[in-house]
Amino acid sequence: MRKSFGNLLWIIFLAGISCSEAPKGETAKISLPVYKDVPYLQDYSIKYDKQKDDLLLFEAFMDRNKVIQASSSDGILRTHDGQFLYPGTLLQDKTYRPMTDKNIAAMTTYQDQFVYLDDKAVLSNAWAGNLYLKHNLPKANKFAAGKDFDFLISEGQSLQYVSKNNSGWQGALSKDKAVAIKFDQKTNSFWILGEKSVTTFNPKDKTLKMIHEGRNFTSFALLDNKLIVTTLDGYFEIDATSGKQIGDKKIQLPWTEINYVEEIDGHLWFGSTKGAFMLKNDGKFNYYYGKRWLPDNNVKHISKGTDGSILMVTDKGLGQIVFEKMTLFDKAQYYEKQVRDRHIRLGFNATLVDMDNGNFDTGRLSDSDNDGLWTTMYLAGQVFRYAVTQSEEALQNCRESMDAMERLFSINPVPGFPSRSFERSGYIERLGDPERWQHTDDPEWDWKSTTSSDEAIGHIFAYGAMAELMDNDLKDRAIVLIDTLMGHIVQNDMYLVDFDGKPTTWGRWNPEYVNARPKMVGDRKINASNIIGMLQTAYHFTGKEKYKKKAFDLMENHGYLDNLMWPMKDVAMAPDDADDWSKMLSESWNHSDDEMYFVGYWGLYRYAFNDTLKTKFKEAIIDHWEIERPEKEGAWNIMTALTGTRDFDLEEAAWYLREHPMDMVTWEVLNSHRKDIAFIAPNFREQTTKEVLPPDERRIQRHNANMFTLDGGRNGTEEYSAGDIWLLPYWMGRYLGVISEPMGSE
Amino acid sequence: MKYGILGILFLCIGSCSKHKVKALATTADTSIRSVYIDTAYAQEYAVKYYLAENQKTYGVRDIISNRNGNIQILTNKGLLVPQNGQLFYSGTLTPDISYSPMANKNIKAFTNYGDHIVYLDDTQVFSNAWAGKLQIEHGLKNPKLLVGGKDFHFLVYNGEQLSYLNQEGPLLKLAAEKGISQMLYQEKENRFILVSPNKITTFVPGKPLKEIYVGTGISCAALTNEGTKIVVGTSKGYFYLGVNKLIENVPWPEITTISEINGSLWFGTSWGAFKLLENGNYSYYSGERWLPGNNVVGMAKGPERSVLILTNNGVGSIQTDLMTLEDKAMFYEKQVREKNIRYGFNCSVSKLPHGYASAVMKDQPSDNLWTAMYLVSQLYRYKVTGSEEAKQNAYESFEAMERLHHITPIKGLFARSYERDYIVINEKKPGWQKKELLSGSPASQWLPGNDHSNWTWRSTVSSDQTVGQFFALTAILELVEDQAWKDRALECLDNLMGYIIDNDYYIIDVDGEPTLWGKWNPSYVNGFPKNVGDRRLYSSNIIGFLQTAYKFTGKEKYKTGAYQLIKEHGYLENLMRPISQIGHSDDDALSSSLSHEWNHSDDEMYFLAYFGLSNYAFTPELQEDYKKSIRDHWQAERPEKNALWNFIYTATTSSEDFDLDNSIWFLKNYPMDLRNWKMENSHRKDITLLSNNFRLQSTDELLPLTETPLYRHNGNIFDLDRDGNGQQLISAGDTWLLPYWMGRYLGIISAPQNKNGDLNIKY
Repeated sequence: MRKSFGNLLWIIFLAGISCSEAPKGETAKISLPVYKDVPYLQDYSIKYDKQKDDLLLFEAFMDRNKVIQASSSDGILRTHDGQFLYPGTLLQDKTYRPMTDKNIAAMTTYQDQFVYLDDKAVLSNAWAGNLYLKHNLPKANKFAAGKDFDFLISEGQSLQYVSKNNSGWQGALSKDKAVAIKFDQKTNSFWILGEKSVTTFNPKDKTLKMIHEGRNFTSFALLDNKLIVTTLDGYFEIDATSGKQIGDKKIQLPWTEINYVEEIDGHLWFGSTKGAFMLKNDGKFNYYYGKRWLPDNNVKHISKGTDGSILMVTDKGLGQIVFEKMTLFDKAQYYEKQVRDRHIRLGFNATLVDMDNGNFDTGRLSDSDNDGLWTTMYLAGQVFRYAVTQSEEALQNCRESMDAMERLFSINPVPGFPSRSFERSGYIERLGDPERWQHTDDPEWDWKSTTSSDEAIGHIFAYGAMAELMDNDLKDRAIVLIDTLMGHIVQNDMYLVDFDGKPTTWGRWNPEYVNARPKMVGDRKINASNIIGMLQTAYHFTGKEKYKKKAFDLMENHGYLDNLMWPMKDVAMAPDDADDWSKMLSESWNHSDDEMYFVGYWGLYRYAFNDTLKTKFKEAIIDHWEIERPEKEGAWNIMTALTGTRDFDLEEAAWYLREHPMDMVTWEVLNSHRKDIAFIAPNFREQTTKEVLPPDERRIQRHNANMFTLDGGRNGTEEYSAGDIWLLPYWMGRYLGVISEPMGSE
Repeated sequence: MKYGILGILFLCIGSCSKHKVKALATTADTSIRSVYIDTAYAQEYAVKYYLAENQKTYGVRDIISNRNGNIQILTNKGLLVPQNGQLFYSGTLTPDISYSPMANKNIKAFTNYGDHIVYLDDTQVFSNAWAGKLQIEHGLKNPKLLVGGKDFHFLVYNGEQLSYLNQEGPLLKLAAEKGISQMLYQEKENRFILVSPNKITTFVPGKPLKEIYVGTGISCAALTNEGTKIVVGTSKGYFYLGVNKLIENVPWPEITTISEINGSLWFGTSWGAFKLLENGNYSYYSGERWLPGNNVVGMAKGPERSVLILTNNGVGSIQTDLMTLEDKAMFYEKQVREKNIRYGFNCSVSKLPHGYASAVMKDQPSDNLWTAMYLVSQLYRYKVTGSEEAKQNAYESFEAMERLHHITPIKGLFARSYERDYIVINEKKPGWQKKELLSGSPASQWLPGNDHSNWTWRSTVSSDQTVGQFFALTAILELVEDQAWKDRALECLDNLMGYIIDNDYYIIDVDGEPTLWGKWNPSYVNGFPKNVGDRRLYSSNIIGFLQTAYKFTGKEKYKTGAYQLIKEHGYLENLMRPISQIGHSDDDALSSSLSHEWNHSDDEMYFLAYFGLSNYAFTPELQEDYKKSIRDHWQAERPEKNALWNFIYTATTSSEDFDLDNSIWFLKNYPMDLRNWKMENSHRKDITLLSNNFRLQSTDELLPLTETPLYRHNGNIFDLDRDGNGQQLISAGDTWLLPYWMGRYLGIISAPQNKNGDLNIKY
């Protein structure tokens, strides 16, 4: 949500829930803060594309009947079809037969009714068609409505005032052409913005008065007693009374080449050659860039719809930003449907790829190197959902993803070894990493080898949650897979050993690999942290001593406890004398490691062998969380809450969930050109700006990516699943009791 | 469900004359009217997906959906999936490319197993569910049919042989007859049902095939009653196996497919689809209000309570939303504003030559009437809900109706309509009356506007336009608080009544002649034989007009005029004449042409004017007479179940028994899709056609409005068939919103009781 639209407050109950209400298994004696899930304004876009390349779009408005019209070089257009994610089109408006024969040069709204300007008159179809004021400016192309059915019209230099109830007036700007005209309700006067001057017209005594001179003006708006004047290089403010410029020109903007400004409910909305932006009360901007929001980035006109939406005219069509009241739970319901409808491949949680410009029906479900990880993250989310709601649908979703997970193990010939993925045979050359694919005994199927540590930690996380929270066959099936995978690792000397008898590149938790890394290299810490959590989980659910023994051996004899307790702030590049592999691994912060850590914390903290260890693990988790805080990563904050800490940036987590775009298509997004954000020097974490941008201004990405990446996207060719990205943190938050059930949902 | 209601039975109580207050108070004290409690009900509408021309040659065969909400259509050229699609923006069908490996498979059949899709191709039975593990070599050449049994066992048929499989492969192969068209699995009996044109056979694994029925013309079968019964479809109806009695009196007997969906039996036929209701009746879905084509090929349960019907032209998805009547009202409210407002008029029919976005609105001969009905609906809505939007809607319609008075050059003469920049100006040519009478459409004389010279207005205003003006202006005077607005309404009302009475009960047009229908003079009214409806109608209307004018202006001339008509010209007798006596007369050419059948437009004129007739009666005695007349009329209308007539009836007579249930039935069944699709019913075998009659009542029982041609209040609700192409949209402003908000205002429809309706519809 991007708002300053309603006056909703994000209420956090710091008093929180008492421990007696805490979910099963939660023994912490402290109470956690709770986000109260009341409706907020969620924005999303409905796009309407123009149908002819050479058609020019000018302005768009909505009347009180909720009809949208746009003026264009082909006359008045109206919207056809159009839903969220399914763009509509703009067609010629033939509603009123006589209108199609008129040369409409401009339109506006007055009393929420459409009013038109043609070569002869100001006219409308409202008020029983009574409004018809003739004028003498055949080339008139700008006008504004006054207070009482009166209008000021211009055709460049010439001006004419026409009124239903008063006598008219004709005149001209002394040496300028009108760019825009606006009416000032407070002073009952018109403002005329020229290319290089600002003039006021008083309809009462019919006088023109120039109050300011400058150059290259593009548009203006009235706000309080100020005129906001835009140029192709920022905007400035003028005192409406004195005509003097107030302060410096404003250039710390998302983009300074401004075409249009409009005041809407006390806020300034700017249309630029690189998207639109709204100035918030805190001085920062909401930025609407790219096809997530707009058919094109050259925004030429903005107006407020009578239903609360914002209409933005671009070169290629109309973007309607809709604000809908919903709770996080409502949003979850949309995402649940999105996942089932478009992202289930053989039970995997998959990405839809090869799409043509965001059209889902042209997409293909893709295999992934990490089908295991993305699916287990979705699966864990569904486990939490089932634990909270007892939803049969969630349970069935779990079963179906579990089918796929089990088959990862059974489809390859190596005991206890999970495949990365599988697919019907005959397509290896067209799948990701063809060299990693192997045939199975069944000529119909191929499987993907080289399984990595991030797959392994995903498996153990989801099975741990399932074993703990399920009260049915899935509990046993989860424990079987935990034992199968961990049995393989322990038996193979802490390696994942592939079909060729060799350890995979990343499936290595043996001290000879882990401790070969210098202490500051992240891999030493992550592998230690993960494997202890995995062994604890295996011991917790199987009771097999070998897992406990191995964990303590690693901690006590190989320094794994020290490894995993290594302070995050000291994770850094390997020194010059280190081995090449360590140097390669530590070139920069690894956000995929963050994901592995956090999904691994479930087993590390929850199934700790003893309280002493648990306290230490909590310390490590919070140390990690502290360094992640600038990312405002909803999933990491919520996962941190599982330690029972009261401080885990709940508000930022809820912000992440609210601000996450409904539209999960990989539209191109650019932010690096922005002049309203504070960039910081290149650094190890690749944090680009002081403050992280909201998710709906960034590219669509998973939790393994850098939240500070400014630019990116895949040109609308893919849609990501909300299963791992959004549903996991949401349902985990619900399960941990830090997000309430929906309240006052509509 | 019975609520006592007080004080809101009439448009007016406070300002009525003294003796009437007493009469009304008595009525109110004794009235205990039923109230409909507006809880969410199941409202159906269709979203259609059309096959492209080239796709029609593919040969569509079957449709299916799964628990993920995926829908697939099997054709001889691969799988299609629906794309986009809303109620007013039909979707298309597009090749399914979600799973790339599927592209090379030659899918012969699919079946739903465990709410997932299982496919049959040349060599395998397989699925993308269960992690893709399900994959069985079936060992038959040219397989045709597939059905699942217990525990992932499947039966495959290739025209000669059956192959019974478990997950490992074929367990049994056995020869079977040719021509099996469908296979079902009956779980309760652990047996398969094999349907052939001439018999039904069962297969229990391990046992020989067994014939259980022999007959002819068998097309399909389905399980019902929780899988315990088998219903069999034929080219002549259907029957339950075991009972074996053919049921032929169905909407259309040539059954192509049967399916039990959400607990109801759905039948697909060569002429639409129908659903068996609990009361034994059928809901019939045919025509493009429901289906892209009438030849039904397959059916399946769809996502979210929908039923998918595959036809020769594409898919009709019958959606069910749980909504209250108020939800339905809000849907229509928005549509009227977007599609039917022309200069403030309620444009009763908008054209849609290029789809829903491009509605074209033209002047209508009765802009007065349709706008008045919409205007009053918005005033009721305003009074009930306080909605400023409703008030503004009403005000804008008033401005349009007021301008009808100002655009003519003569005080008291109002226009039928007006248009901007409309240059066609026709003269009233000699014989125009005859032409107008025969064509039923008014002579189009368009004249330059008195207020703006580039506007034209349409003359030849009629009696039904006058009814509209009175209906709207009276409601404004009764319901609006704003005195300036009321003053303007009163001025219109006084001018127009004065113009009529000053011209000896004629509306004199710009040419100095009476308009064809603007005639209430006794020489015209009493010139009709007594049994001709116009004599009764015009008497009823003009007395109501005069009473209304007197009530609000207090001018004696209106009262005097009314009494003159009552006493000297028999108008009371005219309006009291029993409806049963109204019929055909050949006495003169005009009477003959006006009385060849019941005039439903007259019904509309009667009822809208009953407020002025009954509620503003000069005396209680007259009021009793009027009520008797209204009751007599209403009795004749009851088979039509028209909510508007029923509600006006109780509002003007305070009758407790006014067919509330039928009225609600009318409102619920009124279609969400108000486009003029071609609708046909007279071929149905489940209705009894009546012989020709004066009222043109076609069937004993009225069919639900979901199944019949679009009904407007001046039409015959018993019409069974009508042509159409979906390129016109009628306004709900007069047809539905008026009775609904009137019901709310009268307190006989409650405010919505639960806001938890489940709305999927996009509007």
